[in-house]
Amino acid sequence: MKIMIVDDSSAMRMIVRKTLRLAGFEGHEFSESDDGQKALTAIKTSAPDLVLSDWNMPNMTGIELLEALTMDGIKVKFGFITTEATPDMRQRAAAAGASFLISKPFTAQSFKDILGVHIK
Amino acid sequence: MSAYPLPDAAHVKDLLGMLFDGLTVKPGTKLDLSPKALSYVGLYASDDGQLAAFCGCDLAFATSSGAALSMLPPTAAKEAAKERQLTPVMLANLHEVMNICTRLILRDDSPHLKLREICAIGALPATVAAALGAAKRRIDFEVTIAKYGNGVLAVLCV
Amino acid sequence: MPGPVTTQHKPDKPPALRGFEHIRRFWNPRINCWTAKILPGEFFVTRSDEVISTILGSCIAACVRDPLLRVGGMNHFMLPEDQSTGKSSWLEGPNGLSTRYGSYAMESLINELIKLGADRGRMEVKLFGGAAILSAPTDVGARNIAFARGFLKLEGFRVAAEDVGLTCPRHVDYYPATGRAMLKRLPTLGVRAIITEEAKYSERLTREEPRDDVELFD
Repeated sequence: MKIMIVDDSSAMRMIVRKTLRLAGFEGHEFSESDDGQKALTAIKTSAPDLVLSDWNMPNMTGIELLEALTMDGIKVKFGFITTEATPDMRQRAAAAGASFLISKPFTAQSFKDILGVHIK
Repeated sequence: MSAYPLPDAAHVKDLLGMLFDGLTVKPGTKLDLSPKALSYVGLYASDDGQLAAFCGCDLAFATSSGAALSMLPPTAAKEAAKERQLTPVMLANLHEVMNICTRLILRDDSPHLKLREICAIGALPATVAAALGAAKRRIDFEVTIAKYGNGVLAVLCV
Repeated sequence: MPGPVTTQHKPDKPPALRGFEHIRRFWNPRINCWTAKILPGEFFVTRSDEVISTILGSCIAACVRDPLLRVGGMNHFMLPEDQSTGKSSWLEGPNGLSTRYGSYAMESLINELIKLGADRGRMEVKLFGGAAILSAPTDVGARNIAFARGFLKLEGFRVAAEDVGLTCPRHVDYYPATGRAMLKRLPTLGVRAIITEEAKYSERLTREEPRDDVELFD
């Protein structure tokens, strides 16, 4: 699968990749973006199968990215990896079309549990 | 019951323990928040822009956590502490750590809270410094990250 | 924080959603969590930090949740004896009494979750129960399992886990917030009470008219 990781923290992008590996999700093609706006363009050109996105980012938030993708008619499986994990924010994520939400900080087990359905 | 209850040591350990291996958290001495201190403060605002909480730390916590998050060599943390200066990577990482610390303050039923920015304690605008001084509730912890060292982390709520 | 709750203090009892106030709920110190206990024929849904619990003999419990919204529920049902043929039949049609009861139990649970915003495409299901009661003439448990699996497959649901069949009763504690299901297989001593409870339920089913005012909607 082509998996894109979007987070303005480079340390966090590295931790997500490491945790994907620890959770047993190997042999996939990874790409990264540190900015929601740049990710929007990259998703249009590279067509990933799955986007793992942070919520709060300076230029364009994760939810704005998802909404922009929807408006542009781009269908891609999209999930959040974020500190924003309250019931209200989960409702917002669901309403925008997210498939899942992993709360930060996370463990390899939570990646296994939540991503097992989405990463084949 | 306050909208933003203070965390206890167990809560800090549960949360930050998922980020850092070999983490211990104990109640600690009070963080120095005087203007000359080498401390940093994260400012948390509710959706209406009002500052509702603060997360402060000393230079030692900032260098330890800042280095540990990127798995930099522990000597990098020691160097930065000696220089009394965070490297750009450490500052960016401290930002992420304090973003995660939002979950020490915010509960499922609390009004939404977000990290607005991090300031060096000496660079706080007067109004913010006043708000920090007026924060009635606080708790201070000594946080040790294995191999990287220990520092002070404080949570203050209005 | 996700649980079961590990803090010192006992949190307040979460408010029951409308229509579920009659379900028995109690603070369970063994697992440090509020628990809703359902009986045969009942179901319960929640969006709070609580466990749903039941004891199963040959009955089936479907545990269903939406992992994104963290809402979920559990039912506890069995297919009744098919009175039209005079004995349990594996080959009843889709409009048979048994199927309608089974569908009613599944659809009620799913519809209540959809009302809470859950999405069928995200739902995760775990199945428990359907034990064979050795003293019974037919394997009612197996029939229940076959129905549940068939229903879920037809409706496009994914079964994430199951512990079904065998001959032991099961005590299930399901935590919809995380999807964790804690299962205890019980010794066959004490089965008598479960058989009696299920027999009462089965008898009630055959006496009542099946409800057909529940439709699955998106």
